[in-house]
Amino acid sequence: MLRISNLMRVAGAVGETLTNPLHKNTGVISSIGLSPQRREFNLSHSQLAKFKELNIELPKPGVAGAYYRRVVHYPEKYTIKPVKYTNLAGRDPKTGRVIVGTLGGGIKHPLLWVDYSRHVPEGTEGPLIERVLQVLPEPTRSAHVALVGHADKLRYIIATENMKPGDIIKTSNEITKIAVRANEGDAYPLGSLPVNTLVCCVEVEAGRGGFFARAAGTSCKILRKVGQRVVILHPAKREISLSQDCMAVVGRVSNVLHNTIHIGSPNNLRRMGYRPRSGLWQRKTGRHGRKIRRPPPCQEFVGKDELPKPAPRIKLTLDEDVTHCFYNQPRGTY
Amino acid sequence: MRFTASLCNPRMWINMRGGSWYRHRKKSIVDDTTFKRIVAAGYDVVDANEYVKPMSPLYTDYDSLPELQSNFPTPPKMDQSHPDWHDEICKVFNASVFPIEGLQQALAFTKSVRMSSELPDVILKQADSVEFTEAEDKMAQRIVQQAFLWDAYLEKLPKIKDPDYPSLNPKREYGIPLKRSNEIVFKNFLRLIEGKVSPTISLSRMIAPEEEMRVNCSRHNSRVQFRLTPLVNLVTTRLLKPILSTKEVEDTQHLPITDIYPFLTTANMEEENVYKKTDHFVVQPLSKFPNIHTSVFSHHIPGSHIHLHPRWNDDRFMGATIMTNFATALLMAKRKYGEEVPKILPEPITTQMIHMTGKEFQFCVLQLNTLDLDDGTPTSIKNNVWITEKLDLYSEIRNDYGKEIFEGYNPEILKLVAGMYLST
Repeated sequence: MLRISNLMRVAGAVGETLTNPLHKNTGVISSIGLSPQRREFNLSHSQLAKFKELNIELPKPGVAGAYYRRVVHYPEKYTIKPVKYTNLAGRDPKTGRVIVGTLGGGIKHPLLWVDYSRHVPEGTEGPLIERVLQVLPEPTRSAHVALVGHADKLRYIIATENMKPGDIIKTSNEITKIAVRANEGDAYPLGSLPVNTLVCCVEVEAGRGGFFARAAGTSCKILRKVGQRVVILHPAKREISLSQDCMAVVGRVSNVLHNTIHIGSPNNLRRMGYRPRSGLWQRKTGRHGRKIRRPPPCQEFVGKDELPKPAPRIKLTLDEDVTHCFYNQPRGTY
Repeated sequence: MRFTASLCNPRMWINMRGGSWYRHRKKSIVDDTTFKRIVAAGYDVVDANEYVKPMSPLYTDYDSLPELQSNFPTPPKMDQSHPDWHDEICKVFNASVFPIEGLQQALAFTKSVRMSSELPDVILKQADSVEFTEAEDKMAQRIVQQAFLWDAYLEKLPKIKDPDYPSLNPKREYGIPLKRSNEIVFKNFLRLIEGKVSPTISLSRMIAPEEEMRVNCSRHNSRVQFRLTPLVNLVTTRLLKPILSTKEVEDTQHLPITDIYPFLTTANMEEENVYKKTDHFVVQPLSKFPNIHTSVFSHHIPGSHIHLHPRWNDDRFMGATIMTNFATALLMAKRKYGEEVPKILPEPITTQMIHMTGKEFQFCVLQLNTLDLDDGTPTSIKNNVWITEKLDLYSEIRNDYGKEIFEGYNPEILKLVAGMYLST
């Protein structure tokens, strides 16, 4: 009777075992009802190796979107003095694994802490008015930065195309009914700017600081306004829908001729901190080159508070312990 | 993945054959629910790593080592545990700080008016009264050469980086540090002048070298502190006489106060929480020479990162000159009238200042009439400033592979120093 009952169980377990490709060669019966140690013992050497690989932790090579060029040691307080940093040369700082192969070497430049947020600080009445003191190149980024300030506060921001020392720039948090006529370098919420204006340093979420179009010569274009949202054209020719509260700086980022300046020599590229490329990239093969696809649909960036809340489940009983869900429920709980 | 541990293995290349390197990674334990079962049985489970320590020769157990005590007490941290910590922020002006808006900001901070781009006539007359012979003129040139070429003291000079060419890393050379050569020039100039004047004047002056000073004041409802170390302080028995009379001061009332909107005059000063509230100057008020006559500052911050962003320029240097001169005048006013100085001084206080970079000299005279700095009414009493542009002591001085080059010596600077020394 025991044997029969075992066979009965075997018949039920066939579906599970066949799905696992590692157990193809082994008999169905031998793999069932045994401890994992015994099961390993019956496997061949290569099969055992493959089986062990499944239980090996492999640290993932890096985080998507992270930049393995440097780690900046920002101090607690904002300063206009150069900030210390460590070059990573494309390596993960914890494991030391190479993640980006084409980074490394180069000159160490002084790095300036750029303040991306253009907001009116709390307690100030009306718009914030600042004066530009200097516009200077920052070698660790492509755009120029501007030293601006008001009262006894000084900071670096990303300079726009025609910004020059002595300019007065304005920042306002108000969303006006009629669109404002803004000067270059001023910062307004997207909702109060007219359609077809070029903007840069656009926020993803209100209060987080500029995110889109910070590189040299880039800019976004306000396409249309839909309700309380504004659709802009990203420099990569994509449509993005943002909240109207997101701040944006009017104008185009400085150092417009950046992409036209020739590097000069491979040696100069090394000086800039790049290592030679693999040489595998080809334009017309799909593997390392481009593929022509249709443009993606408009991407909508919504904050956590703006997301629609899930509808509350209705219980048709007065007993709180009873759930209305019959499937995926362990036996004996209802 | 770091393979320093596996490098220690002598059989590394044998063991790492084939695809074994790919498999030689951190292995995870198969979860066979024994942990759950033991816990369910009612036993306490503790991590074994708390009791077992690795038996590696590279491992050092720092917990088992005895506590090491340093020979010298460690300085307190610059946080809230520091004995001089205050919650109120203090704006500090020191040698590395400069007014970001230059001359205009310094004039606005000190609420003063620039009278002319030359020194006052009283000092220029004194300067013209001294006549140096040819031998003395040669002696002065020898002093400059002594300071920049012939001095036997050598030191490894600081790293000099050209901000426009960051790729260049010039070798650090041995030479005479700038502070030392500045000191040699100024002290020997004084010695040359003292030989010419009458002993009554020279006996009423004394040199106080490198005495730190600390002065407090308030501006825009915030605490401001000056922390300065002059190269030389010329101290005297008596304070300097005011240059402008009370009538002449009243005539300057109509001159406008400089405005640097949207900035405040305390912009670019360092904000600190660790400071002392009292003033400090080593030469005591009861000593024979309690008053500062002329203070000499040497600007010898080498090509450090402080000079990079934002950089010093002539305008900001000029602003720093006025600010330092104001600090000495404020110190003298507090010494004369006590801690609570009347807002409009009964008798104005005058101080002189020489700011030098080795090659360049800048002279400044400040007459302190009022300390009511926050009063912005246009017809109020203001302070008066006379400040020159930067004047070159020489055009070129260097050692070109053993050949000494010394050109374009300017004898006027020695005259102006003499004029300042003689002013009473």
